[in-house]
Amino acid sequence: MNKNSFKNSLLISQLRTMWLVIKHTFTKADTVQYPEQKPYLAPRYRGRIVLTRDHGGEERCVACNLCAVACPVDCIALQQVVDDDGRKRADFFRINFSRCILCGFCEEACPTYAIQLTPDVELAEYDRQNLVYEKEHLLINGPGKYPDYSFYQQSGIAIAGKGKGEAEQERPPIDVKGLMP
Amino acid sequence: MTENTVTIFIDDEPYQVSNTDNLLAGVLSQKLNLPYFCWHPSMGSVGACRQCAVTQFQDENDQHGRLVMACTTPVTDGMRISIKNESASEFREQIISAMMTNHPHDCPVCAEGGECHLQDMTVMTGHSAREYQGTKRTFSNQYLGELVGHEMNRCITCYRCTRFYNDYAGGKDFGVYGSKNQVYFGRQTDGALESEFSGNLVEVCPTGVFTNKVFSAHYTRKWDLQSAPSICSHCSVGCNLSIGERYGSVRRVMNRYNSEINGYFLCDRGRFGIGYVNSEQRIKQVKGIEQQSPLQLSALDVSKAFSHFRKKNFLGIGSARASLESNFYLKNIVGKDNFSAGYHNDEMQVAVQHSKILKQCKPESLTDIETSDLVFIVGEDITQTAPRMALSVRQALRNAAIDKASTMGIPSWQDSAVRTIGGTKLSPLFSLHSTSTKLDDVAEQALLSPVARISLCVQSLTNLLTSLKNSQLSHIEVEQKLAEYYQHQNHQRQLNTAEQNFVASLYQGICRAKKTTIITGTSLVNAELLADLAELVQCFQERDDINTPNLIVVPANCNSVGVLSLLDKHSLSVEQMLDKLPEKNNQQQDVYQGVIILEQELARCSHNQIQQLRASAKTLIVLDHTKQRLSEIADIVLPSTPVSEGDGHYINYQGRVQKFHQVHPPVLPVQESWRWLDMVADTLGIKVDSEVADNVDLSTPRNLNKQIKHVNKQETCQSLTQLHHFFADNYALWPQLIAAKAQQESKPVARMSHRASGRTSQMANIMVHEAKTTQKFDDSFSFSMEGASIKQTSDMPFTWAPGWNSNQSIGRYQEHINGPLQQQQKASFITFSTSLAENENWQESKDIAVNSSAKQNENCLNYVQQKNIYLSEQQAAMTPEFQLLKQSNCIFINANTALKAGVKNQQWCKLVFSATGENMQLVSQSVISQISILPNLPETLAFGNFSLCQSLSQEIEMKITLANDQEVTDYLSSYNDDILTAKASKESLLTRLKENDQTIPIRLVSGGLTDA
Repeated sequence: MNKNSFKNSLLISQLRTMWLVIKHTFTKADTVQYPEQKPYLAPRYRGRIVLTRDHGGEERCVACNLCAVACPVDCIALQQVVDDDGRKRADFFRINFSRCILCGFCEEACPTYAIQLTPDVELAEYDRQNLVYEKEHLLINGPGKYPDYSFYQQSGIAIAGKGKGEAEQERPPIDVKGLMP
Repeated sequence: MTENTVTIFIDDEPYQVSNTDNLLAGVLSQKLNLPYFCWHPSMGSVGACRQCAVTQFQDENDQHGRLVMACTTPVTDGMRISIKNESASEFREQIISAMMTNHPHDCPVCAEGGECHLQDMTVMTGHSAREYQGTKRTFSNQYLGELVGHEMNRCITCYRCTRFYNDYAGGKDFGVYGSKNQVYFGRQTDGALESEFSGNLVEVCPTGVFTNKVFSAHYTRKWDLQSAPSICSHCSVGCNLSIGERYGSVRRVMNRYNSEINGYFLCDRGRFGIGYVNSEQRIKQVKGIEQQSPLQLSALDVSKAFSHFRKKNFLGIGSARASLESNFYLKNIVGKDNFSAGYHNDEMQVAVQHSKILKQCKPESLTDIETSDLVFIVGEDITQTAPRMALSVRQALRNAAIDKASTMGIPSWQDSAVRTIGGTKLSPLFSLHSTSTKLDDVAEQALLSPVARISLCVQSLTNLLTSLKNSQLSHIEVEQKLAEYYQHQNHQRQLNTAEQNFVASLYQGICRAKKTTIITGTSLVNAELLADLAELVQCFQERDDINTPNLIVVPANCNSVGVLSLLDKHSLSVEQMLDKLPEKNNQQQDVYQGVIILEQELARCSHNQIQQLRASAKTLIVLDHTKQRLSEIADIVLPSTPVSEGDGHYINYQGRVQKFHQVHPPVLPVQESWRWLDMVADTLGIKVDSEVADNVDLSTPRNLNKQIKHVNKQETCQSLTQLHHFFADNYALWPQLIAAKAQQESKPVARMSHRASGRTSQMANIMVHEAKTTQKFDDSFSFSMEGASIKQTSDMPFTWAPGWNSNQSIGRYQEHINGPLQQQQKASFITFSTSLAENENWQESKDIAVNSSAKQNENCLNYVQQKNIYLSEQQAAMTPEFQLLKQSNCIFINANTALKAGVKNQQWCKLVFSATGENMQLVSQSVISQISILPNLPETLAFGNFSLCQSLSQEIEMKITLANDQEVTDYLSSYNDDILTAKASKESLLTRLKENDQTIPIRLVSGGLTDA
């Protein structure tokens, strides 16, 4: 590259910049009048975390701890209980949103589609303590994404209303004392 | 390099591998990854799962090779194999994918998830997607009791469970049923597993078929547990444990590998008996100390409360379940003349004999027991009092089969081949006890004998050994010699036919054996037996043609030997202490202000003795972690920690010093006993034995009048290390425990795995600002996921290795498979003095015992209570799951006795036991019990599972009558009430634990009361 072309390119760049500035002076401003005016957030936007229920209205979360271990900031804590109906649920399920970075790893890790991120980003609070969400704050009354999936219908363990061998793709339990080979 | 090492080529790299084990073990010893299921390091190979396939090549020119199963292939010099070879790795993946066709989709709800060998192996083979579209076979589950859960769908038919339960541990009520794709592992019918080792199924099963039911009820993932290396507090074997905690409560116990003690297995008492640390009965507050601030107890409150005891004398009762430090401290606060171990007179006699034996010979480790070819168990039911040792004895009995197989060229790791060749061939086990034991089924001879006659048998064996110099005599000749020897004795001192036969066979067995192990215990409280056994071992040493056997004494508690090492000629028995307590001095003032009782419930004391103690002690100070009858009547109660919440040392039956580490800090004011005693010592001062101190420091002027020097402590001990330094500075007798360990100045090891979750959320409901992790002075572990890797220590809080999440990862830390850990430090053993034996009170024990046994009337009954693995140990018995396993009363009697009383097997009877007590008054006790008739039981012996009161220990009479319906109903309803209470307490415990999960106590520093 010789000296002249270098000088020329420098000038072109400056002219282009000036042109852009002048152009933007006449375009419509991008500023959105939030909160009066809401921006579009895609359905799979990673915002506030919820716990969903399956189509039968039962909690999907089986308290397997995978979301908690996937969480890079360790902001999910829970305790599993086995209820009388054989289902495992979270005794408590707590997300500390003041730590949450909305990375969505928990949703990726969830084997039952229970934990999901929603396109709601309005999480500001005056008091940090209010950003600690317990299970009752997280649980919603719908299935969210993957509405047809129900973990217990796929898994081999028995719960009230679904015995051994009654899940999808299962044969009835084997009679161990039977003589058939 | 040892002579057994050969060079093999794995993927063209040379490796030095031992040729005594199979190829799989060799590969794993090199820390290479090779998946396996059915092989287990201590159970050998059967080649059932086909998972460890590798390609073996003829020579370096061979390009194709052939598939072999590494676990069934011996290692040969110069062999060439490939793990990475495509055909082998594809084969391994196909095996997994075949297993996965039926594996249920339930990892999220499986308790094994996160420490599942199947998960690890699946990842290791690279199998990631299930291509099979067909349906899955399912099974119904069984109820296997309160301890082990069953989820049969997850089974991959590796056969490890039945190989462990039936073949290794000798269980009878478990099996494998069905064929082909329908193989079922379980019991014939639903019911609790009978083996004492059922809990190991949880660890042995590579997947989640068998799960820890207690842990599952209050579950957390392995990666979330905060664990610390610990020692089992339930028997004297001292198995190494890893105790796991989460949200402030202890969740479970897992095995911690120790090549010399427990290896890979634990007993159920050790695994499930930890429940007591979460019990409702825990003492959480001080009693009898005025608290200034309503918020917390301060050190000042304690010193104020103790200030008026300054210069006062106390008596101290230590305990065999408290740590060595606490006992030592207590002994030096009260002075050696005022210290008791809580032993009664007869127990003191036993202690004398026990310490003599320990001085004489060092008991061998469990691993060494497994190498013996004759075991003689006398006067102890080790299946119930030291179960892990019984498991080792079972392995020792296999040596005959292993020897037979080795003569045919079959190595010992070829498990199924060795078992087929061996058949029912077992090395001889001789059992001589007053109750039947679970080892009787594998014993060559098991003789049931009243307590006094057990010693007689041992004595006659000693006589045989000294009089017969020929070890080649036939059985009949030996019996004749025995008869000759005893024909001049009086009737009672003669052996009957069964005894003669037993002693003669035992003599012959011992003459033939290469390595004999004699195991006895203290549960019969028979000093004469121990003395006789010591004499027996002594006379072996005089015989050149027979190898001297190793004598193992199994004491009752986890630190019995530790306490034994602290006893000296001044130590008191409980009776002596009770006599000494009301003593007055010249000014008619009480000599003793009171008694300090350290983690001791004086279980053998009668109600009257406890009343006497309460009445004569002005101040009763109790340190304990759980409510018991002494803490109820005490003036001052100081809450101490159980094994999971404190630091300390236990000494096992060998004298091996083992440290247990704090798993999680306790909630104040609960703190370790030695911390409380440290505070007490601040006011009371401690007494240093100046005889010993003079030897250390000659500049100190010798004080002839007073042999004891009072030391006023200046500073509180912040940590166990400081305490040890303090002890070591002041007492020459204190064992040098820290000397070896002080050198490691490295970074503390993390108690949590690096994946531990919930750090910023678990306490957020209390306060959103996270508390910093608990600090601890001088600790070699951190209460955090941050810290050095577990690789750096032999005391591993948990075991994990990259790609190996299950406990099988221990192989990555062993020098070689089944070998010691890479960081294993040399075990330290405590030394014994014979000072205790110098006390004349206990010296003539033998004569006393002989007299008492001679006195024993032939017609008098000898009732012995069977020991129970779940309920015989005081701490474990508080676990609700164990209380649910309580059995209804049952007594075993002789057929003649039953015939005379007109009762039949399994009938409910009313038994009235009576005896003439000490003050010539008649004591009697009636028991409703089911009868079991044992034909080979001597008429003078009966044993059952219920306890009789203390005064009914000797020369009792038993009247048997059939119980009427009302009595049986009453008894059964009270029995059922107990079960219901246990059930209710189990449920309330779970509810309480769940509530507590949300209020995790914050401790910034885990020290004593002075810390935050």
